[in-house]
Amino acid sequence: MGNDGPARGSAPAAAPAAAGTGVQLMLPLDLLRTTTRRGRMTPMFCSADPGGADERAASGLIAAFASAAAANAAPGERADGGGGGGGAGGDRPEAPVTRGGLLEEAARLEHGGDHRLVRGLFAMLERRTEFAAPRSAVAPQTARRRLFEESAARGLALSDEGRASIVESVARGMGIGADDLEEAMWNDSEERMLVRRFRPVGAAELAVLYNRSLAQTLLFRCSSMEVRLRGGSHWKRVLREVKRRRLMYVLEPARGPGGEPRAEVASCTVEGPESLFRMTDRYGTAMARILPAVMAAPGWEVSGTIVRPTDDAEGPRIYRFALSDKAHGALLGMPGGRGSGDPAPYDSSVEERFAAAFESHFATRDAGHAGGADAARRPAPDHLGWRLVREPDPLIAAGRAMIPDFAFERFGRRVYLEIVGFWTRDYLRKKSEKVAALLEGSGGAPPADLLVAVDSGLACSQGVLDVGRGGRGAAGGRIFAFSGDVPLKPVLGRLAEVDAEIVAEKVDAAAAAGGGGGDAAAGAAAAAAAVADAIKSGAAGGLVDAQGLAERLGAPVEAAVRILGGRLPGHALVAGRYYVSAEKAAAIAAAVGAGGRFADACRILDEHGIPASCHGDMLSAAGYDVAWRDLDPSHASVARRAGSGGGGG
Amino acid sequence: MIAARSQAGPREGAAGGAASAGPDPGGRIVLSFDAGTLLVEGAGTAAIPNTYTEDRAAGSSPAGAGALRARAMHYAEIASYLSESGIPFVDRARDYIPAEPLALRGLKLRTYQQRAFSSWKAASMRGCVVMPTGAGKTAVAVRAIQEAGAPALVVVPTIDLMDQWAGVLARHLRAGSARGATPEIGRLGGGGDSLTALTVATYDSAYARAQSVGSKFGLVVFDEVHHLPARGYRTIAECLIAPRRLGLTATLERDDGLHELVPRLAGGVVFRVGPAALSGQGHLAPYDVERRRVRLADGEQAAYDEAQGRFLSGMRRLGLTTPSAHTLRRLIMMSNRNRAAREALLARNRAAEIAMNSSAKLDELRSILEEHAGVRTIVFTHNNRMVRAVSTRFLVPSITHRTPKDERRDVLGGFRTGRYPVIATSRVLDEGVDVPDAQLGVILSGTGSGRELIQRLGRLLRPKAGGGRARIVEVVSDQTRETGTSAKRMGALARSNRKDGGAVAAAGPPAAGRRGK
Repeated sequence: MGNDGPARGSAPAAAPAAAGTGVQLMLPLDLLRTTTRRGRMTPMFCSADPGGADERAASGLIAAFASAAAANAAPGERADGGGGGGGAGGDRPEAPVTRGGLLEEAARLEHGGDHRLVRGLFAMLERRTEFAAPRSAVAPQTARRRLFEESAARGLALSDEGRASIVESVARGMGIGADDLEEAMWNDSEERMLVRRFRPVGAAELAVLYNRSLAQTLLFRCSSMEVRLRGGSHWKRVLREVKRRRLMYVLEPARGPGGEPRAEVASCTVEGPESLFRMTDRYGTAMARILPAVMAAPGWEVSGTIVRPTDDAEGPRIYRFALSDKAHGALLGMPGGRGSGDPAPYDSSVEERFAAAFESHFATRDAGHAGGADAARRPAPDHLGWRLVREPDPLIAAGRAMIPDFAFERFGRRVYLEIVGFWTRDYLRKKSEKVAALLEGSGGAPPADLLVAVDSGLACSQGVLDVGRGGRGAAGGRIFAFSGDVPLKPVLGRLAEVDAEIVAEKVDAAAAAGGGGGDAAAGAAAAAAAVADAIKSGAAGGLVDAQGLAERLGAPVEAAVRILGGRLPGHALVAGRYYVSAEKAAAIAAAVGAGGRFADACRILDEHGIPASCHGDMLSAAGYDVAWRDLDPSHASVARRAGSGGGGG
Repeated sequence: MIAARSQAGPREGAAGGAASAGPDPGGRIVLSFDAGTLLVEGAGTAAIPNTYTEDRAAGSSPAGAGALRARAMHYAEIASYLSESGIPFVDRARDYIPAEPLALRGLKLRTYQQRAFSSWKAASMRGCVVMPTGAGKTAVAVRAIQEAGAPALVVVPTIDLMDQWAGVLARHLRAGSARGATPEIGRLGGGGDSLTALTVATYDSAYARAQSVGSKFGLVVFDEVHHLPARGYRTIAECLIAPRRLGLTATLERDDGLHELVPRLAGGVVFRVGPAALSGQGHLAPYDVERRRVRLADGEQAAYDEAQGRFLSGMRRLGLTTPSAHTLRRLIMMSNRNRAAREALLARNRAAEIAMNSSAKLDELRSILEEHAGVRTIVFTHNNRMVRAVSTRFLVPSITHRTPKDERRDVLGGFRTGRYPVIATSRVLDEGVDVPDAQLGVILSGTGSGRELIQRLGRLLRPKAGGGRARIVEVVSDQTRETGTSAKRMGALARSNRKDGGAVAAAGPPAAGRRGK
């Protein structure tokens, strides 16, 4: 019992590599390679640089394993058909390569290099290798028993002659030669094992496999780690692992170097129940097991504390470490690439149907809104409509995570939707707690703009619904029941409210910028400049497009229209989007005259720079009616409305 | 993070709690077991010893408003504190496996075993018993399990010991009365995963499972309790609520001094007796220790000197002048990055290998075996290579940690019946395993550890028919570090014997190393 303490670092006995999260097999702790400097511990990763020392060691070992597998293959299995060809080696069977032989080869490669790297790579390769005992004339265990019994009966092999005679007699009894018996005696020992099969691997891929194991091994002695990443589905996976490993976490908004919260990034501190009592690396292995889920998320960052025991009187030494996709992604890159970026499948069909209904609602509305067929083909700019985001970054409720099913984004505003389908009573209790915390705001965080749809068929839904019914402040009306499908209406209703809020905000901001004059805020100044530009560019042609301003301000068109409205006296709003000056309207009216063919009128409007999508509206605003004979625009005609003041007349 | 915690603050109005069981409707304090710790909920402002404020989140954790958390091992203390302070509480922590009363069958304690048991019982059933291998520590534990009448967990170092303990418990304990049924023995480790009111576990499995099974036992027995303070293993003791604890060992002291943690984890030493005292009382055979020096073969001596020289000069160059346990550890640490250190270390290992595995030792062993023809003998070595060499040369069976289980059974069974008079082993038989009695022990190589020697000695010390003496022969390579290593372990044995209060030195001081005939 020389080794004292739990067997840490040995590969878990039964840890099948789960697809996706890829449970890596870790290295024994004594093969961990790190450098320490100024209290920071950095793993010494294996570089795959061609021709470098690391790559030479990796390639050398791979070659040793591969050639052992080839040499040991039974003649029938040999790729080249065995001894038929008559190469130099064809006649003479190559000496079988044992595990012991591979270890010797590794020792040669170690020479002058880092033995821990070589042995670590060796361990990685062994996992791709199938070993088998060599064939023996008799079973080794039987051979030993017969030899020992015969020896005991003859008063032990205390002389060379006595020993030879014992071996001879046992061999004769078993009907084999003395040499075969001697050979069989220890043929089941580990160093005599032969490589039977080896799954080949390239040096670069081996380096990645090794590096991932090394990163995990680093965490064996981790006492606390912080994880930062983006994406609700990745968070879900990581937090699921945290819970599965019985760890604890505190979630908070990630902060930038100046302490400012970083948008859309949460930071999660992971430790174990006992970490409350003392700094302990007891949970290091569990943390190491979480790492693959973390590393699957793009842009991941992990940092934390490592405890290294020392023999000094000061006791264990504490180091910090930091790993990230940015700094180490290439070394730790997933062989075969990270998941293709396909969204994860929906948790339930309710969610899937809701997403489809939502998307199609906005697709049709936008198409209709934009008018003409040409506009429908061009998708509306992303930021102008409500965008649906699945599994957004977690919301933080008193240090706990809640990852809503959907977020709706527009102009930097986010509205969340959580669909509560079937689940257990305990789950609902926890959920209603979180919902209450989120709706009321907690820990200094403002209330979250959260909608909760609860399946009314759910026996325990009352608990969740009560939180909303309580009507305390913002909570009122945020929670609604559904049966079958989640209705769009309450969601759209809330989004329309937010739309109105956004418009009001933008108009107020622009008003402040325009009126204040002395306002130093850069944003307000930029907004004022944008408005001035829009008016200036429109002044020349007598036509101001609110859409252009909306895009520059990052605001809805409605807001731009309202902002422009007060500043363009004598302009008329056409098609809810364009301001046309009175002069321009008069010029158009003069050109169109009493009326005529619709196509001619359109040509005139084109000449005045009026977009095709609002020809009808423009004519109507200028006092004309369009008479359609059929669906063909070339048959339509234009006539001045009775009582409308003629332009030139 | 600290700031974030305090910012999160106590959560108000979280009625309903997140605990699966929920808070106590009567507003009493609730104790519950959570992943190797004790949660104290609803304590309000009450000051409770050994607790810490919890405000982190976890999937499994029922941490609610103002929860406190303590190590599970403080359960008994906290519960009795609450009782004595008259604070009402609900105990949901204790989740004992229902245990039926047990009766002893065919177990009669020797006087010193009875004294050991009584001392433990008098110490509120908490503490360690130190007695040599072969003195019957298991008997004390069986009596303790029967007396405690609570579900018991026995933690042992190896899978072999699990089997042995399961056998002893099944032999001596019966449900209800001496004629009752054999209790079902649960197993954690070695492929077993069953929990009963009488469960045997390896340290490794107990370490892995303590977080989940820590609330299920009222008594825990730590066999070879000197392992318990090791990093990691100590958390087994911390994660169990078991108020009753018994530690067993032949030698509690550790080179690293960590035995100082044992009283906190399992209780202090309540009874101690050494081999010399028991030999004097006839409970253990009297014994002689003989040291035989061998000269390394010619080529070996030159190779040894060369390797040892490279080691020493390497140490000097690295500024590590005197070889000691401390400088050696530094060398090992340095060797990971420093080529010279690594070479010095390899040279040292090479020298040790030559000294340990000298062919001269095999020649000496041949003489010893000739002198003791027919005597039941165990040959101890430090490493597997030497075991293999002994086994191959003299055609005697061997046991290493790689020996298949059925072969090991055959070898030990054959040794017991006399079919094999001599067996060879590396360190695997040092601890516990129920090895048949032997008269002669040959130590071909070993460490300087007193414990290793005492444990090896324990293999030989069962009282001999006709009052015969047991005998240990050490074979040491002359003019190598081995002579120092041998002196170190003999010194440790002598100190251990002196620790018995008034031990009778019937067998004489073993360190004197009497020459054989």
